[in-house]
Amino acid sequence: MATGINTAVRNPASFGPRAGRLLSQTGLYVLLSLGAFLFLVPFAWMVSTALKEAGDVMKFPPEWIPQPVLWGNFVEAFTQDYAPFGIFFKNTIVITGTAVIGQLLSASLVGFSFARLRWWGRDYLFLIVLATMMLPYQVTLVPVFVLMKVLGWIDSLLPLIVPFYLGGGAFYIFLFRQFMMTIPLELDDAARIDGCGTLWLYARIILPLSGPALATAAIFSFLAHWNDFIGPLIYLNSVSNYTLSLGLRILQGYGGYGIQRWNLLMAASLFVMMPVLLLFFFSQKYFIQGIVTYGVKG
Amino acid sequence: MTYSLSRRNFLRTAAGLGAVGILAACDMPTGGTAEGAAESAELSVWVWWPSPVPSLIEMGDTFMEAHPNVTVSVEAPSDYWTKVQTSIAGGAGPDLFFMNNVNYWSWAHREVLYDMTELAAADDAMQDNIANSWQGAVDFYNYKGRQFGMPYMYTSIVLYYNEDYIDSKGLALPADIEDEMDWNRFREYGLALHEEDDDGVAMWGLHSTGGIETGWLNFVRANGGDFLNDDNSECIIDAPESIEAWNYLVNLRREDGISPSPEALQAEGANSLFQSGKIALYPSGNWEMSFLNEQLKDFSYNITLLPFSPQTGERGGTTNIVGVVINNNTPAEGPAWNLMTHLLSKDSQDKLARANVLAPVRHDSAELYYDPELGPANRRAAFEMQEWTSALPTHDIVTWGEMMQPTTEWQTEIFEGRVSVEEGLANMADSVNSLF
Amino acid sequence: MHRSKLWRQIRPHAAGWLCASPWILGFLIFTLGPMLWSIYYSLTEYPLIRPPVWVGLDNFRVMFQEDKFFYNSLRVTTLYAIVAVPLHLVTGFLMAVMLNQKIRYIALWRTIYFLPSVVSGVAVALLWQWIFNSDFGLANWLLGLVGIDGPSWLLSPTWALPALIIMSLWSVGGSMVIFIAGLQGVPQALYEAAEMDGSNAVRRFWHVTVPMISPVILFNLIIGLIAALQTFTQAFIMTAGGPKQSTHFFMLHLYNNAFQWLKMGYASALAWILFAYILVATLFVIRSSSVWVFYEGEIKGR
Repeated sequence: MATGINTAVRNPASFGPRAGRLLSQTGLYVLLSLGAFLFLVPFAWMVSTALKEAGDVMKFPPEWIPQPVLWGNFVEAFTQDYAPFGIFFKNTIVITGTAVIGQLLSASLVGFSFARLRWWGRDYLFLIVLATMMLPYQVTLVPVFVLMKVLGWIDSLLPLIVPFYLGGGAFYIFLFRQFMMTIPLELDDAARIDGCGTLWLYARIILPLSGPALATAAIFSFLAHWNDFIGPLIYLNSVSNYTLSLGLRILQGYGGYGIQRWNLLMAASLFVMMPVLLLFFFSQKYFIQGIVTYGVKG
Repeated sequence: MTYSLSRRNFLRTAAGLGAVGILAACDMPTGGTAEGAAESAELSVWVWWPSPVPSLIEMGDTFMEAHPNVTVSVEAPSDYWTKVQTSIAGGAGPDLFFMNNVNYWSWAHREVLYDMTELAAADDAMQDNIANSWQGAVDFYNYKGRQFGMPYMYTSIVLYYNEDYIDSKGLALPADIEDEMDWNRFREYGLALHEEDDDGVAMWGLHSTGGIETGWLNFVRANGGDFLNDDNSECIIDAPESIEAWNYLVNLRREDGISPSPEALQAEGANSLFQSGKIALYPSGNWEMSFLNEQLKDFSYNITLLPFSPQTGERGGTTNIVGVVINNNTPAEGPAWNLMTHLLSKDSQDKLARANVLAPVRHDSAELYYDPELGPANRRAAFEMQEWTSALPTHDIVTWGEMMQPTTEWQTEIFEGRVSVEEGLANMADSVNSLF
Repeated sequence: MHRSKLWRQIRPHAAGWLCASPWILGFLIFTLGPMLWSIYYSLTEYPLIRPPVWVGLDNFRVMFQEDKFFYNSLRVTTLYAIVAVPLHLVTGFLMAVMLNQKIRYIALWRTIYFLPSVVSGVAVALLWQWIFNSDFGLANWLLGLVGIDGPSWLLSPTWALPALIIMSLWSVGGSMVIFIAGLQGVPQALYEAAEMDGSNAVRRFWHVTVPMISPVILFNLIIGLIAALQTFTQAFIMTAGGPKQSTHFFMLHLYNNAFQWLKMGYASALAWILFAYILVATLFVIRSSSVWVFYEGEIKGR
């Protein structure tokens, strides 16, 4: 299976006889460049706006190079007394960190059970796992909210963390199961002969060998929790519990009292996107792997 | 029904009383009830926009000095009304939160607010606060004989103008000729001040297409009409005096072309246009003064009374009475009540006045708020406007959101010229009446 | 003795259930239980501050007969899905074909096209709200470069939904990557055989590439469809459903009912309608796929 955008081209669906090749190649590069421009220019636009003075934002045609370059916009965006971004950042880290850990632990354990253990009802339950992938979250939205109310968890971080320790979601279970099935079964037998328990097998043999699956799951889990909006929107009410997504919403709602201060808003948005972009540049391979596992093997 | 009586008339008398109160500042002790003083609690206070936050934090600090076992936090959450509602329904929520005029009755009706009638009656400090406050506003927060909240501050609508620009045109400043500024004169000013060049409009003469709060209801009331009738049972926005006022406003947009249309203002709001010197005459609320004082660099502005109707010789205005209420869920009613009392004390209301957020509800603090030193020079116009002011419409069964949904829809249709004034207002009234 | 023998038999099964127990618990507490409650709530009036009151099928009657936003939200959501999803497929597929050629700096090109799809959420919605600003935005500046006087986008009832569709194309990289992986799985021999038959590039594309990749198209179609029918954040942040309800997505309607108006019973009923809609749409796509999706196994049968 091809796993990376960096892998060599195996099957160029080559167009045209050799005569037209040069022309079509040139056309291809022009098209690619144009597309790349359109895909990248929003980022440039965001950076440019984020560094501009308020007055220069409302200029048309826009000036692409900010003069002067106002790094202070980042400071200003994060020091509004009604939007404590330090706290939002901390809350987001806490939620994302603990939820990712929970999701990895429980999904890998469950995936391990489906992939490496033989037990009554396993295949039926796995069908249910797959079926829950098709269930839209809206169906359980209201009852789960009521459940959280009964537990007294409204306006706390718990509803955004605890559920992920219980199974971690069908996609992640599926991902771990698919990966763990590729690990040779002889390893289990060897361990069993050594008299090792099931949990030991999971923790000491299978999990350490599941590095790529863990990395892929960690990335997708991180993205999901970092960018989550509807969860925090529903469960978090006090500003002191807000995440970055809700913090951006505050800035959007109050920025300059009716006058949108786009430079500050773009600075804050850029900041929120940054960890995701950095993660992408350092672990591109796993991003692709996750999508492809989901898309082609699924 | 006391709660519907408050609609129109009390505010006038109240404004008169206010003038007396302003001169009679008195120093009475502030504080809380003795039994709640030692109780420990963590109180949270929510408000729906950030301007009041810094002064509330100051008041909270003073409160914590007197009540060392209590901590106070002040927050301005996004999507405020949804958040307050879901958090309270979810069994949590703030201890105290800010309430406005237009939502109060429907909230009081829903029984999620703490009934403070008895506490207020028994509390000397609160009684003293009330005695020094605008009585009409206190009455407004009395819903069917029960007190579910207390007023804290209020808005008033005035005419902002670009002083330098009007000066440069050689016209008399509106504040100097306020007695002559009827609707006809207002229009003449708008026509004289309006300026267009090759790129389009360089300066809008005025802004006539604002919404219910800063726009048309002020003119409708000046002309003797209103949005709801006196006992709140019917929308009467399609009455003849109202149609006349609307025709006047719509013509400024449609015939004279000296006001931007609502859709033209979606990209950049009227407040932004005024701040960048692109609207000369701009009716808006007293909340803009603090922002303009800080942000305006390129020209100086001033305020004056809204123009009066040539038909009635009267001006008209709206006010939004902002109050504080206590969440029925609060585990700390004693401390919450003490904080409430503290927010209405002379000391706190003075802080509010100096912070220049909105006019404090206490007469003896309002004097500080209307001090011309805070700017602009004719700041007292915001106070004088109260003589013609009554509260924004409110209803206990139909929420403000439900009422405003068809209202703003038809308002846009009318100002954009897609329906006639008569037809649009008839539709607006019908849609609102179908809710009752 | 007897007991330990039994235990030896049960033990592996017990271990399996034990390891799967987090999911089983989670399924019961956060999926199956709530689903049953949701059915119950959908038949009640439930304002959250008071206990649910049984109303039978009244919520559904109100939905189909009285709720003036319901049909509009269905219409908006359907329109969005019908336009955005196929547009995504075509764009993603063409990009994948382009980026599966022998070109220089292939990794860089692919990274560029993939990059926007990794960011999402409120930050992206705010960025595009600014891009679509009618007076000072990037979109109208770009259109101005080619001599077009751009519309007012998010402020216009006509253009707000198209704006959200254009925005969604920015994240087409995800499906592109899946297509690339699919393309790389097409056996080279098929192309060679087709070339020997004298097929030109266009024929090879239609008769080799498209059929071989059709299972991937089906997958992308289903995933895209489900996601499109649940659209929320963009509409909530950028337009709040307006102007004139033109972007009032179904999910926005559900959220408003549940959390703005505290109509939890009605919102549950809406959720089941959404579920039914998604189910029917997905099944329809899957049924129809027997006509146009080509599975490799079929080759042997011929």
